[in-house]
Amino acid sequence: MKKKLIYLGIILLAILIQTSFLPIFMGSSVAGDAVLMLILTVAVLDGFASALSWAILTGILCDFASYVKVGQHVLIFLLVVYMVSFFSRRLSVEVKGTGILLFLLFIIIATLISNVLLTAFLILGDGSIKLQPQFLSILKLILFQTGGNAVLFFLWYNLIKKIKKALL
Amino acid sequence: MQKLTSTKLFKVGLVAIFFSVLVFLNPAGFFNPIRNIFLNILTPFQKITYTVSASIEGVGEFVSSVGQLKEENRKLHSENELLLVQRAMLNDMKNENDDLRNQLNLLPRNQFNLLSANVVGQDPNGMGNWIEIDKGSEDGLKEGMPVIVSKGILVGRLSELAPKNSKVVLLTNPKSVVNVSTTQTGAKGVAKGEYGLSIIFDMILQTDSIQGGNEVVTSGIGGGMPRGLYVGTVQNVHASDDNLFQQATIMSPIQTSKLQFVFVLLGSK
Repeated sequence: MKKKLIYLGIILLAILIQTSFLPIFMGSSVAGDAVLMLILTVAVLDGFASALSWAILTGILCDFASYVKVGQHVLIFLLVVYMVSFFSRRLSVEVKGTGILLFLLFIIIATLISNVLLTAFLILGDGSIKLQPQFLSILKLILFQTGGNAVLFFLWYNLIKKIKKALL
Repeated sequence: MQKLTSTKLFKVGLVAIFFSVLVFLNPAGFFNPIRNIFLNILTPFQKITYTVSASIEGVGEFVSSVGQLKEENRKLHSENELLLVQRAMLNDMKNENDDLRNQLNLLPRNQFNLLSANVVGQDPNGMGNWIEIDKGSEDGLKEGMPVIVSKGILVGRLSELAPKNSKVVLLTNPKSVVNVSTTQTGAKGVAKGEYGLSIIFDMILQTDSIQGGNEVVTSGIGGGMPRGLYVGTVQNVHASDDNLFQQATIMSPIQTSKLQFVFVLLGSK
């Protein structure tokens, strides 16, 4: 119960960071995704079963805070949780050696999933939106976001690991 | 069968189908009561976070810009001298305008009922298309009301309202369309958001005269938006894709990521 309440607090903190903190510092178009990285961290540290329920709850809360249709963030987080689970069964997931490369791969794929799905929802939501394939600027944006996400991921990773240790 | 239903892929697939249906069906307003409760809880914390981050950002910006301040100060001095001259001219024109308005029985311009609001959040999806303010339907706000800063610079319009907070769709939002005109030449058209990054001045007749540096204000055509709210300055002018109209990019003076307070325009006094 204590762990659940702490996790709920962290989720709300992540949503606050995402909506009212990061866009001011980094500009909304290049800001990292604190909530996405939190879900990635939970998926890595707690495993599929636990992360699935947190992904659904966090996704719904994130949809509420972002004024978008309920379900959009849930779908993104579900894919991220499944991706982590898929790779974790096959490869060693640790913050050392080649494990770090795997974490970076997770961060890159999660950033891509988030960007692709959010853009798809935007186009589906308003057919009049034209998106020009300006690949260089998109690539630059995703690189910035991946960098920001990597920092956020390692912050969450260390925080949640410490919390889990303290609760044991 | 039991083995299949216990697989991770099956579970994820099932939840994904449920939420995909929810996204596409989009039961309008179904979740609004829960969303409103959640936003009511979140908004006070957002207000604190936003203020704290704006203060930290302000300090950081000050430290990093010390070197530029001297040069900027020199520029501002010369600009100030120019503005003093322009102000004197404008005061004279204002008096003349007031006299003419009195003679024609026209209502005074730029006298609006304003409601100040704190910005508490921004688009977290990186599209930069909206901001969230801490005033909502309980404060008498309605969808479509214009949102401004500094007495007359247009920021956007109210879009979705909760009792205690609302979403403001910015001018850069692809869904935003505002009737505008230039102050210098009177060229009319619409200001549309593009890709969430810039504002496009579209549908300008080929016969209308427009050039870089022209000031763009709302034209008041179509109602809902008063005349004379400042939108920005014209950057580059070019023909539209179909060559039927002229198009221009509008440079807005507002940096949305730095907005802390805005005013909702409730109506004329």
